[in-house]
Amino acid sequence: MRRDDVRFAAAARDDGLRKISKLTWRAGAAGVLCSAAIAVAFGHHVATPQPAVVHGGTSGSSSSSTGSTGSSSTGSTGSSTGGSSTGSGSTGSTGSSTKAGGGSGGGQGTISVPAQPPAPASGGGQVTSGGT
Amino acid sequence: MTTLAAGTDSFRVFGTTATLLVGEPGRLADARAVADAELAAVDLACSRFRPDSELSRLNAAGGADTAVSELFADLIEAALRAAALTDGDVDPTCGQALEDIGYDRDFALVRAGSGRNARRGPHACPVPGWRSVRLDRDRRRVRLENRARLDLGATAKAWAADRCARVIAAQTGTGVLVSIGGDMAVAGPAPGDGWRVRVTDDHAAGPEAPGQTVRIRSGGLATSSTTVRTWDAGGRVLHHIIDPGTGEPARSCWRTVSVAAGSCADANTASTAAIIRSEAAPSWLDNAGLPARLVRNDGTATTTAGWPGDAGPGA
Repeated sequence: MRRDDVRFAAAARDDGLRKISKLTWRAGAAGVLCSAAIAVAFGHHVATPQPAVVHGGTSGSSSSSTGSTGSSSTGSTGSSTGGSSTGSGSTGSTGSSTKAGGGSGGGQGTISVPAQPPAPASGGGQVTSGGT
Repeated sequence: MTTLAAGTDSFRVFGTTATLLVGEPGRLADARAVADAELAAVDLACSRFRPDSELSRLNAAGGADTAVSELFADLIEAALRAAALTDGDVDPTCGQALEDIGYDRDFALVRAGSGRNARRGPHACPVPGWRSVRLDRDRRRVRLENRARLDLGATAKAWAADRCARVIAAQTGTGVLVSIGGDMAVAGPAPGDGWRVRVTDDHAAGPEAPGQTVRIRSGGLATSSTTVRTWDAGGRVLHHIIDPGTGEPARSCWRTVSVAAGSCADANTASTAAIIRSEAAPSWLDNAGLPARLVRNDGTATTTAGWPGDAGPGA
C-alpha cells in the first residue's frame, strides 16, 4: 500500500513536470513568434530607404556618401549604383541613389557656402532678389 | 522689374520673370538663346501644370516604376539632395498638399480665382516624405511610394538658374548672372565690383524697393518669401511654402529670407528651409556658415554669417 502511494506520487509528479515543461515550451514559442512579428512590423516602419549612394555626375559637384544602411528583416537588397549599396528594408523595394545635383558648389553632405559673402553696396540693384 | 541696361534682358518663364545680365553686351542674344533652350527643356520636364510634362506623367503613374529622362532625373536628384540637406524641411512630395490648398494650376489662374480656391481645404497632415521617391539613377527610373505626388517648385527654378549660368558662361565666354524669379546664379568672370543685387520682399519690385543692395561675384543668391505668392481661400490667406510636417503653408516668424551660397540651388534650399524652421533658422544658418538676411513679419531684419549690415527695419 505504501509502495503504491509512492508510485502514485511519483507518477503525479512526473505528470505535473510534463505539463509544466509543455507550458514552458509553448510560452517560449509564443514569445519567439511575438518577437518576430514585432520585428517585422517595426522593421517595416523604420527601414525606409535612404537616398544614400552618391556617384559622380554631370553637374560638376563633388560627391560623397551620406547615407545610412537601411535595415532589412526579410533580406531584400538595395541596388548598388556606383558607390556603396544600401539595404532597403522589409518591403523589398530597391535602394535609391542620388548624386550631388544642381549647383556649382557643394557636395551631397552640406550646403555649399559662397566663396565670399555678399559685399555691401549703395544705390539700387541691377537685378532684384525677392519672393516669387 | 530690373534696371534695364546694355547686357540685360528680361522675359517671362515658369510663371515668373527671368533676367539675364551679361558682362559683354554683344553676347546677350547668344545668352538668351541658350537660356530659352535650357528653360524650355526644364519646363517640359517638371511643370506641374503641363499634362505633357514628365512630372505630370510620373504623378499620374500610380506608383508604377517609370522611365525618366536624364534631365528629369537630375532635377529629382537636386530635389532629393535639398531634402536630405534639410532633414526633409524642403520636401518634393508636397504636390498633393499644394493641390489641396488650391494651387493646382498656373499661379496667375489661382490668384484670379481667389475665393474659389482650396476646394478640399488645407491638407492638415504630413506629406508622404522625400524617402517615398525611389530614384534608380543608373536605370533612370523613378517610383513614387505612399501615394506621393511630386512638386519640384522649391528647387527647379534655382537648379535651372545654375544650369543656365554655367552653360551660358561656357558657350559664350562672358560673365553672366541668371535670375529666375529672384533666384540667381552667377558664372564666368564678374564685373569689377561684382553684380549688384537688390534684396527685397518681392522680386518684381523695382531696384529701389525697400530692402538692401549687395554685391556678389560668384555662386548664387536666393530669396524665399511668404508675402508674394499668396492667394485668398475662403477668407484665409495662403502661400506656397509648405511645411512638410503639417502639409499646410508654413507658419513662420520670417516673411522673407535671402541666402547666399555656393550655388543658387543651395541658396534656395537654405532660404526655403529657413522659412520653415522659423525661430531656429538664424542659428542653423550661422552654424552652416551661410550668409543670410532674414526679415521678420514686423519688418525687422537680422543677418547671419557675414552678410553685410542692414540699414534698419525693412531698410
